[in-house]
Amino acid sequence: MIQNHRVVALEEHYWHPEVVKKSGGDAGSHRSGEIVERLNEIGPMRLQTMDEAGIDIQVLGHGMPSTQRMDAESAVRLARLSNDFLAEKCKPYPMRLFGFANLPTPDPKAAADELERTVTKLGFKGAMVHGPSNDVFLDDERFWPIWERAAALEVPIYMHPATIDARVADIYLKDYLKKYPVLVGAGWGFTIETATIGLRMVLSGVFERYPKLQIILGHMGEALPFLVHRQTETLRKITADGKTFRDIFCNHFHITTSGYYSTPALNFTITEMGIDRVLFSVDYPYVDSKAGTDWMAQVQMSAADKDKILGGNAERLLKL
Amino acid sequence: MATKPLVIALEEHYLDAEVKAKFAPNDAAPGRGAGMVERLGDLGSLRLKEMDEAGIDVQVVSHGAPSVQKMDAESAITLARRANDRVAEACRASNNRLYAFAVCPTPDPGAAADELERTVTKHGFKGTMIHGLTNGAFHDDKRFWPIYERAEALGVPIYIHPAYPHPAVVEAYYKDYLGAYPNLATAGWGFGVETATQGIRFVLSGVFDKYPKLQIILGHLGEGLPFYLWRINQALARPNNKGEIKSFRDVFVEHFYITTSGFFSDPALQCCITELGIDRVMFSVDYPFVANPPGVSWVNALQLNAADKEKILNGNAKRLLNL
Repeated sequence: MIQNHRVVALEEHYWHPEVVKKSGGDAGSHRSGEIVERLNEIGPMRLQTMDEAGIDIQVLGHGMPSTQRMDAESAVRLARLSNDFLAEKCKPYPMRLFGFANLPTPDPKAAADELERTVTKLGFKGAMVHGPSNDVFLDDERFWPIWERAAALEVPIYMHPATIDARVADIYLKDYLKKYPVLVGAGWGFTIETATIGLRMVLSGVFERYPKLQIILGHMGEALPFLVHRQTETLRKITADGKTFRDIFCNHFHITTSGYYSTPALNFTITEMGIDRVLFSVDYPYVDSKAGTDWMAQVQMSAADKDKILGGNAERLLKL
Repeated sequence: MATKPLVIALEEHYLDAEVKAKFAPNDAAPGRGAGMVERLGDLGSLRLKEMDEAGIDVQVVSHGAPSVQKMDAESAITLARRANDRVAEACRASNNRLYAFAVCPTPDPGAAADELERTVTKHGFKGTMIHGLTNGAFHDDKRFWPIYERAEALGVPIYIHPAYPHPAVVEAYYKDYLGAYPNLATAGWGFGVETATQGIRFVLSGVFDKYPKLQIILGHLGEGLPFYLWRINQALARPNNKGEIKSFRDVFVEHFYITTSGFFSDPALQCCITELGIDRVMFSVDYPFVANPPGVSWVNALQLNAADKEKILNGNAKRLLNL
């Protein structure tokens, strides 16, 4: 296979012990001992897994819910601490490991400043945020200083799920959580809440205000690509100059294959969004790395397009 | 194609005046507007004329959301029976152009099962349509299983249709945008979230182990579930999931049919065909909320072999509904 670009995976998680201690980590919905061990490791084991899978670069983002559900003071302090920690841990592997910042969204201005600090001082490639910030969706205008800064710095923000709103979980899923705890997470809850965030971002007008802002959604775009047609029909034109849901979504969102190695869903997403907006990712360590590159190897697609998904698009978007 | 295939559409709505009179304001909203009110109220010449103009041969009609799902049991039973008798009359007068899904008085599940049997055996109805939640309860709850037991025994499918979402979810997810985009809570997103959730819950409930011949229909290209199959499967296989259902995909593709109602997208259709197989995809419009002609011209223009197109347009529906 012709591979002109490095193979990049960009929804790859780690934990910082103090952030996890304060936030409670991932609530245990799909944790096992090995996953915890891997989340806590930025070193040889991670690199070996990458090598075995043929992944040249991981862009690391903290696990959910990161610093989104803390008081402002703790969030600011722990975001800075964990970002410095991540930069330090990546330093021995300058061509292999890069970082997405933790943003202390409970203090939006401080979050914007921390984004700038980590991008300009630590060489981070953007940021990853997890679900709503203390129950407030991130399309709320109080968070727009973050989007303004991201647009100015020309770095993307990866919008990752977190354990969903308790009211929705209670009504929609609680009857099944004992047997199927993952239903509130990757099994379904993540999808509905993160797709809702994506929709709300489109409707909020934030992309008219900051036309350079780019959002990344994992898990094959949390199924929003599938809904582009229906949402474009039902929500009608969104901006005064007649832009539709499709126009805004396909100009401001990139999606990754994290935890979603489905060829029909991939082909569908490429058709709706275009090849330039689809990026390979794994969701390490929750999902197997080699299964991802093995899957991509057997997807029947032109070498040039496969090269874009595996690394070319990420190199361009993240300026790697 | 040599001859024009028969065209059957099966998510096609009407409103019974007596049922509609009991709707709450949120639920009555979609029926507003003069053209919509007239079309929803018509089971005769206007409907047939618009079917003729678009080239739709048969409609299987069903009541609009939320039907009788949010009523007290006594009203639901009485009104379901009256509405079903009225729509049966209209079907009889239509010269085999209109068939019906029963209004289902789910607030009394035993009575709902009986009403399903009465309408199928006496009126020749083709199954039933259930909308949203019954007074806040999802329909995978065991109290509703008598309905599925009867549907299986009668060999008729259940069409699971959305209704205005649960108020607490509207509050959590949509309310900030409802002033500018009221559709966000309905066809724009809220319908899909709640109805896909209902589909997932049916699979996990074990109802298909108990009633292995039970068949469910989902509209709007399966409310997105065909696209999500891979991820739901992968997630359910993760550690700590102790339930009996190990493969969501296996259950879903054996017990669900989907229709194209209100979702005329080439790539989305292809994804559904790949994931579910051609035998489980059926044409529908969502009349009168969606107009007939764009649906029919979309299918006519699809680049698909004639045999598969015929399955989508009529073959699958004929088999499933015994038409």
